[in-house]
Amino acid sequence: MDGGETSSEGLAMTTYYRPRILADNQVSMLSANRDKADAACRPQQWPVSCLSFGSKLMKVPVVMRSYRFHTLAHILLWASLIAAFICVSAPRISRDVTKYSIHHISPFQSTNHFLYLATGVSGASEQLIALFDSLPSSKVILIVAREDDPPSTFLAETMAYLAWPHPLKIINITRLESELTATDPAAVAAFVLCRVNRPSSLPQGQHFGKLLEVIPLGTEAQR
Amino acid sequence: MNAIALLAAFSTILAAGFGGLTLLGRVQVRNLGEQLALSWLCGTGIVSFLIWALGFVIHGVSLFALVAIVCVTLPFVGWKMNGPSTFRFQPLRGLRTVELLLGTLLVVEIGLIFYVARLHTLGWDGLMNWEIKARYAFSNGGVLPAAYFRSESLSFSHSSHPLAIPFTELWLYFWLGEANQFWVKTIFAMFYAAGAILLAAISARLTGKTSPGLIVASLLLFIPQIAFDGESVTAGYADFPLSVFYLATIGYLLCACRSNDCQLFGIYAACLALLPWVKREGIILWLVAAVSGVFVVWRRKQSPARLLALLPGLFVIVVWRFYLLKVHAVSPHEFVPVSVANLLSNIHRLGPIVGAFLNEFAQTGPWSLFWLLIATGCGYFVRQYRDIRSLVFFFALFAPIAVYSFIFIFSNWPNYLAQVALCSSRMLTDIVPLSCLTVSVALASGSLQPTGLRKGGSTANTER
Repeated sequence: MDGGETSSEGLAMTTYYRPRILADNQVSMLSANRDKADAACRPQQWPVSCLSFGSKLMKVPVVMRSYRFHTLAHILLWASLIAAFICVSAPRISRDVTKYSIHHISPFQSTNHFLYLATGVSGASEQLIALFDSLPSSKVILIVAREDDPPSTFLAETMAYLAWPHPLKIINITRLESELTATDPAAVAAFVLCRVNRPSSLPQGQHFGKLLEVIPLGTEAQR
Repeated sequence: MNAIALLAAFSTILAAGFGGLTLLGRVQVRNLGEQLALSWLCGTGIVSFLIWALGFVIHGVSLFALVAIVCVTLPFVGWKMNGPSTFRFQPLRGLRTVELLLGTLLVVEIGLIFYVARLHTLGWDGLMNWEIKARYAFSNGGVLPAAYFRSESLSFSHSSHPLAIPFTELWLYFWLGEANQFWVKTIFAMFYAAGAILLAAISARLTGKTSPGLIVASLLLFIPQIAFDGESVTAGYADFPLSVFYLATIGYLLCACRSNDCQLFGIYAACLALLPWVKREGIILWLVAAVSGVFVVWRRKQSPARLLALLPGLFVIVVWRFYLLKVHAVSPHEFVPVSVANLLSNIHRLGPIVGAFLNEFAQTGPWSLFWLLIATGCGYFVRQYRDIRSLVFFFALFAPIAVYSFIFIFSNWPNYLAQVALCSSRMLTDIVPLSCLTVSVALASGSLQPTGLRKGGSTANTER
């Protein structure tokens, strides 16, 4: 019970109690054939006279009108909020749906898309995997990138993704020379240069666009 | 052929989840949609955990076959235990026209998510945090090699993240016979479907009315961060699946608050156990949900035996940490160790971090006016539930954000605010479906038809 309220209009000067469920029912009482509904939700404390108005709106007490006003305000508030929410979202959503859309279907749909954006080469994933597969699996693949260049780092990580299960190492270009001196050349299967210039000490490799170069140092067949 | 494989993979996941749920106790008559959504959540947990656990002893085709056998067997075990009521669902006859229309709209939206997932590529994290693990495990007979965890060069893929999502993807790869970045996105669309359906179902249980829940579930599509953004569910990020698990955990706890229903509490326990298995942040959500559960048991003077519900989640956390230690997994470098010294030296960051999180709430780009709706709905929730449910709900809503904010004090990034800016929207995603309950409660409080007048049994399970 939410407590009593007094009406000065309507059928009678009656104090009656408003159970919580009434807030949900107020509009339903306005419809024509709601006698059953009234009976079902009527609390015992309610005087029957307040409820037996059926379709006669004139007999709705002030409290009822107040409920109707609250219901109307509630509906308006939420209808406006939801409408505003949808209106603000809709342009962004329609943009996002088309922005990220590609229609190419393949097992490497995502990496191919990333590599296409980075290098301009289509179907690069399959080509790179074929190249990595031709390298001795026990040897390490050295991926060279620039730590201060996010696209270079992303490209290096994509190469690491594709080069598995080869042992691999991502190194910063600044550490390339020290890495070259520290590493046994016989243990290296390939160098992958991601948006970095090829050092003169390395032979020319296979280019994937202008910014990605793979330098195999010995394939399975050659071995 | 791929469609058949996909269907088989999804069916086995649903079967495992359905079987697992029936083992929780005698089946209460549930809505078919709700049952499917819950089966999906539990199924992904069961299948991924089974693959990981059995992977210690077998691999390859035997691993695949054994997990498939368990998946198919579980519903039969449940049927044996519970009898024919296992497969009895609530009929849709009691639904009104408006509810059918809203339901149809929801189905269309779910279809749209599947369609858009087909068009979009996986996002960066979707590929490099989650799919990469599934791919590597698939190429190694279903087992992630220890070398992966130890590799410094692969630490960008966050090897310490748990395996619920990657090994669900792996299950799909087993059926497809190849690692496939295209079909794997359907898993996330399934999570969206499960989330939307559960949101509607939990709302109906909580408020006693179906329409408000369906309306709110339909609105999920209009949150850019959730539906179509570069970090959304269609991009294969794990944040939305985690948020669905969290919704189920707290949602069914709220329902169990009122009714003392063992089965609802059982669902809470099952989802609670899976939270730390989905994502690293799941440990924080587990902690919050566990505290909420303990509070409910204490305040409702329920049997202390219910506290056993905390054990499976604790087991998952401990076992996974132990495994990471055992394989010498590379520790993530994003945060410095949590210590009093680090806390004191970085405490000045707290203000800017809280400011950054508050600023995120005001961003209309990823969120539109979503948080305005939630803020408005919060008042209705408090007014409607002046009992333990409000306490539990708001604690579950705000505590994770408070903990997330606190954690960034220990950020190891040179510009910690850049890290907050990068992560805050994803972290807020964790509470999005749960917070939607405020809107459904608000809509229900002004709904036109009373609960008691509904025809049929559609509100039979409501927990008013």
